[in-house]
Amino acid sequence: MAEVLVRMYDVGFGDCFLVEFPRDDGTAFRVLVDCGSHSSGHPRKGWRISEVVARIVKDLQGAPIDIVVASHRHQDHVSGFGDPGWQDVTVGEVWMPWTENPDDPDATRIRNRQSSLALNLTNAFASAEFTARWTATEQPVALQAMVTNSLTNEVAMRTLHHGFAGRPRRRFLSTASTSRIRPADCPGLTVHLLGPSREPSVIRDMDPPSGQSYLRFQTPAAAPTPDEPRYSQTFSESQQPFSSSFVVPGMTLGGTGADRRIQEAAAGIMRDTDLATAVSLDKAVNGTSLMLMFEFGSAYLLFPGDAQWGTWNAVLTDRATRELVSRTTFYKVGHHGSHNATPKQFLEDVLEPDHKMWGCAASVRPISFWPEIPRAPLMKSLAGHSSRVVRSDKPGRGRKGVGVPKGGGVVLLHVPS
Amino acid sequence: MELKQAQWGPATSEGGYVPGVQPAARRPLKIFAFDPSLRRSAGNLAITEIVNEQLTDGPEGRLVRVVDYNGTKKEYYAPVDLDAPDVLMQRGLDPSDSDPRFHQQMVYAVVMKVIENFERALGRPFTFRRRQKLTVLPHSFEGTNAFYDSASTSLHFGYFTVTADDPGPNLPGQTVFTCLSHDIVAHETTHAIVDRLRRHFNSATNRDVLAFHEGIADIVAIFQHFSFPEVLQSQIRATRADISQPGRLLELARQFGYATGAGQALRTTSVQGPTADGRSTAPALPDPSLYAEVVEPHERGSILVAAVFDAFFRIYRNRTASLVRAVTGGSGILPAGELQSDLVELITREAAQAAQDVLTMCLRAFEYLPPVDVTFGDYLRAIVTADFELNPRDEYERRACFIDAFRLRGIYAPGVSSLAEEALRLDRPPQLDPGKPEARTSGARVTIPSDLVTGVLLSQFDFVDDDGARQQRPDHFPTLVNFAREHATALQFDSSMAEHIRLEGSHSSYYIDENGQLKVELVVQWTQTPPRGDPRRVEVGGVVLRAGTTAVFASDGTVRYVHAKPLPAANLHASQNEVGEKRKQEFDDYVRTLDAQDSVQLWAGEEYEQSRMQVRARLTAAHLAQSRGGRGDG
Repeated sequence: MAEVLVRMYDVGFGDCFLVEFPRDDGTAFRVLVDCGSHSSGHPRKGWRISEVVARIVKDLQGAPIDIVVASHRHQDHVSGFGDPGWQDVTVGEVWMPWTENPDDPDATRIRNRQSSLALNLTNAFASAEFTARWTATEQPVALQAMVTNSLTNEVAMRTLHHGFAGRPRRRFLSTASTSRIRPADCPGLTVHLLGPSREPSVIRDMDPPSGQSYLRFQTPAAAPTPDEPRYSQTFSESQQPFSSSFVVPGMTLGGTGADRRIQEAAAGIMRDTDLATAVSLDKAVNGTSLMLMFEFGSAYLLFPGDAQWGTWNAVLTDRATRELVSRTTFYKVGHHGSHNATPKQFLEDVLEPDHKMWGCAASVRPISFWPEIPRAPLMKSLAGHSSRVVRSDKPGRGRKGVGVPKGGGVVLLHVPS
Repeated sequence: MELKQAQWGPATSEGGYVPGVQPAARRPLKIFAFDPSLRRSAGNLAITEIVNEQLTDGPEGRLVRVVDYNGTKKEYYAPVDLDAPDVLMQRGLDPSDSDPRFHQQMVYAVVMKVIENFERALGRPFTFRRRQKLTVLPHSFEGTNAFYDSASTSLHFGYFTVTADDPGPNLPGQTVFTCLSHDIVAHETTHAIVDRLRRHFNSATNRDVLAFHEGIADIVAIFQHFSFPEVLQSQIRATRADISQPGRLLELARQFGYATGAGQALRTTSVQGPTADGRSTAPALPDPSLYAEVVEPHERGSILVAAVFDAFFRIYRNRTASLVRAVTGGSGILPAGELQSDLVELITREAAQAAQDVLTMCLRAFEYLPPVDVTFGDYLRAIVTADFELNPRDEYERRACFIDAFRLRGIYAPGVSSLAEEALRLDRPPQLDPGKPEARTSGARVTIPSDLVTGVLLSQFDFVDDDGARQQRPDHFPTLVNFAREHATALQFDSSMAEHIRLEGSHSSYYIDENGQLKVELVVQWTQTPPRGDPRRVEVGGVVLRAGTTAVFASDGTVRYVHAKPLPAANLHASQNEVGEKRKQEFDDYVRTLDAQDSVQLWAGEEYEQSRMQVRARLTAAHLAQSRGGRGDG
C-alpha cells in the first residue's frame, strides 16, 4: 500500500496534524488532529494561528476533512478552531472525548468544574495577593500561563460543536462504548480508541479539586490604578472572617526570627496550594484526552493527545491494547515531550528491543519557564527507538521520508504502510 | 502535664499566710466534638476536660501557645483569657462561629487533648524539640488547608468561603473554619507530635512512610471521639440491634471519617461497603491487593486506619460478648425495641475502654519503632512487643485481634517467618544478651550503667521555669553514642564508618505493669548516614536513605529489644544485608512510581529534580484539607 502522509504544522507550543490516508481512487481520506497553540509559545512575535488555518485550507485544495479530532479542550489543542477560516471547510465527522457531550450529566459536571476552576484560578492569579506571595519572577508567570491554557475557548468550542460546512456528525467517544471505528469511506483504516475511559478512577482524575479558597475570584479584579497601593486588596472586602471589633493592634508572634518563619510558612502553604491546584486542573483536562491508534496496512500511528498516567496505565495493563501499542510505527509524542505523557514502561518494556518505530513527531517550542518541556532524556530515549525523531520547531534537514518545505511552517512525514 | 499550683492567700496576723485553694486538676472547656456543620447532631456540643495548667492570654501554656494571627489579612484577633471568672463559670465560652475567642479555646483544648493521649500512652511528659512551644494559628491564612510546619513548630489552620452553588452541608457564602473541625485539629496535632517522636518519618523512603503519618493522624482523630461519652452513647443507642456486629459501629467510624476527609478512603478500604441506599451491608472481606498496589499516602494510610479499626471491633466484641449473653439469658440475641438504658451505659463503657486501649496500644508502640523508613509491618511488630511488655496475659486477645486485622489486609512484617505472636515480637541480638556466649566475645560491656536509665528518667522532671534556662546537655549522650559504636554490628550498623553513627534521641518511660510494679525503660534511637560523596550514600530528590536502630533498655541496663533498619555493610550477616538491599530496592521502586505519575515535575524547573521527594511530602500534607474541603461528593 502507499504511504500515509502526516503533516505536522508548526504552531509553536501546541498540536496540529493533518493525516492523509490514500484511497484506491487516488483521493485521500483526511483526518485533522487538533489545531491549537499556547499563547506563551507562539513560533514568533506577531504570529497568528490564522496563518496555519489558511495553510491547511490551501493544503486541502478544496477537499473536505473527513474527520476532525479535538483530543481535549486545552488551548494548545483547540485555539485554532476559533478562526473564522473554518466556516467554509467541509467536515464529515467531529470526534471529541465523551466529556464534551452536552447531553451527558457526568460530562457536564466535569466540564463545569474544570472550566469554573480555570476561571477562578486565572482571576486569583491576577490578584495582588497572588503576586504578594509569589516573589520569584518566573514561577507566577508560569502558573498564570498554565491555568489560562485550561480556560474555555468559547469560540473554538462553538466551531467544534456547531461550526464547519457540511453539517458534520459529532461523536463523543469513550472506551466504555467504542473500541474501534472503521470509517466507511476509507477501506483499510481502523481507528482504535484507547482513551478516555469511564472508569471511576479515571473520572476521578478528570475531576479537579473544587479549589474552594479561589471561589471568591469568580469576578475578575479591577486593574489597580497607579495611585492605589500595589497590594490593595481588591477582593478581600468580601472575605472578612471576623467583625473588626475583634482586631487588636500591637501584637506580635514573638521574636522577629520566629515571626518571619511562621509568616513564611503561611505564605508557603498558599503557594503550594496554588501550584497543586493549578497542576491538578491541568492534569484533569489532559486526562480527558482522546487516545487514538490509526491502523492502516502495516502502519500504526499512535496519537495519544496529552493522555497522562491514568489512561496510559490502563492501556499498558490490558493485554490486547498493550500488544496493539507495541506495534506503533509512528508516534505523536504525548504532551509536547514532557516526561509523564510517555511512560518509560512504553519505551522500555512494551516496544520490542528490535522494533524500531518509523518516526516520532514532537510538536513543541521551548518556553523559558518550563525548562522540562520537552524533556531531554525522553527525547534521547525516543531517538533510541526511531531514527526519525522530528520536532516541529527544529525539523532539521529532511531525512528520508521527511520533507521540510522551503520557508518551513510544516513538516511532511511519509509513513510507509 | 504540669498542674496549676495553689497560691498562698494574704498574710495572717501571726505572720504566716492563709492557705490557698487547691486548683481543680482538670479544666472543662466547650468544643465541637465534630464540627459546626453538625451542630444539632447528638454530642456535637461537647465539654472536654484537659489538665488545668497555668495559662496566660492566648491561651498560652507550657507546651502550646495559640496566636491568632491572620497572615492573609496581616491582623491579630483578641486573645481569650480562659482564667477569666466569667469564662470559668460557664466551663469555657459557648460555641460560636463568629467569635474568634471560642476558636482559640477549641484549638487549645483539642491540641492539649491529643498531647495528653500521647503522654498517657508514652508514660512520660512530652516536650517539643528544644523545649519550644507549639505555636497554633487558628486563622493563619485563607485556604481549604491546615498544616503543620516543622521548621517553625507551628500549626496553621485556614478558613474559606463556601460556594453558593455547592455548599455541601454548609450555608452558601458561609465562612468555614478548619480550626473548628475536631478531626482536622487532632490530625494536624498528631503530625506535629509524630514529627517530634520520629523526625525522619517525613522522609518518604518507602511507600508506607508518609502513609503511616497520615494513618496515625486519622487514628488519633477518630479514636479521640470515643472519649466523648455522649457521642458514643447516642450511637450505641441508635444502632441498638447491631451492637453485637462490628459493622454498625463502623457507621460511626464512617461518620467521623467523613469529617476527616479520609472518609472517602475509609469507605473504600474498610471492612464493609455501603449499598445504594447508603446503609451498610454485611461485612465484606478486606482486599489485600490494596496494600500491594495503593501508593497515594492518604489512601494507603486509610488501609492502616481500617486495620486498626478492625482490631478495635474485634476487641470490642470480645469485651461485650459476655455482657450481651448475660442480659439475654444466654441467647445473645437482644429483644426488639429500645435498649435498656443500663445496658447502653455498660456497653458504652466497654466501647470507650476498648477504644482507649487501642489508642494507647497504637501510641505506645511508637517507642518500639525504628527511627527511619517505617513500614506497616514494623508498626505491627512494635504494637505487639510494646503490649506484651505491659500485658503479657493479653486479656480480650488484643494482640491476636491486631495480628488478624493486619493479616487480612495483606500487611506482613518483613523478615518474620510466621504471624505467630512470638515470631512478631522484637528480639535482641545474641551479642547483647548477657546469657549468651556471643555476648562475651567482643569484650565490650553489653549493658549500660543502670543509673543512666534512671538518670534520664529523672532529667525529665528537671523542669525549670522559662527564665531559668538550665539547659545542660545531658551527660548520657557520650555513653549512648559509644555504646552504639562498640556494638555497631549487633545494632546492624556499618562498623567501617562507626563515626557516622548519631544519637537521634533517648527517653525514659515509666508504667505500672500487670503486677502493679513500676516499670522503667530507656528507649534509644541511633541513625547512621553515609556522608556526602560516599558511594554508599543513597539520596534521591533531597531524601536520604539511612540506617537506623532503636534499642529498648530495661532498668538494669540490659538491652531488651532491638528494632533495626540496616543498610548493606561488610560486617553484617547475609540476611541483614538482604534486608538492606531490599530497602534500597523499595526506595528506588517508590521513586520511580512517583516519577511516572508526577504532574508537577513537567511544570517545574531543574531544581525540582534535586528536591522532588521533599516537595512531594510537603504537597501530600497540603493536599489533606483540600480533599476534605474540596472534592465534595455531597
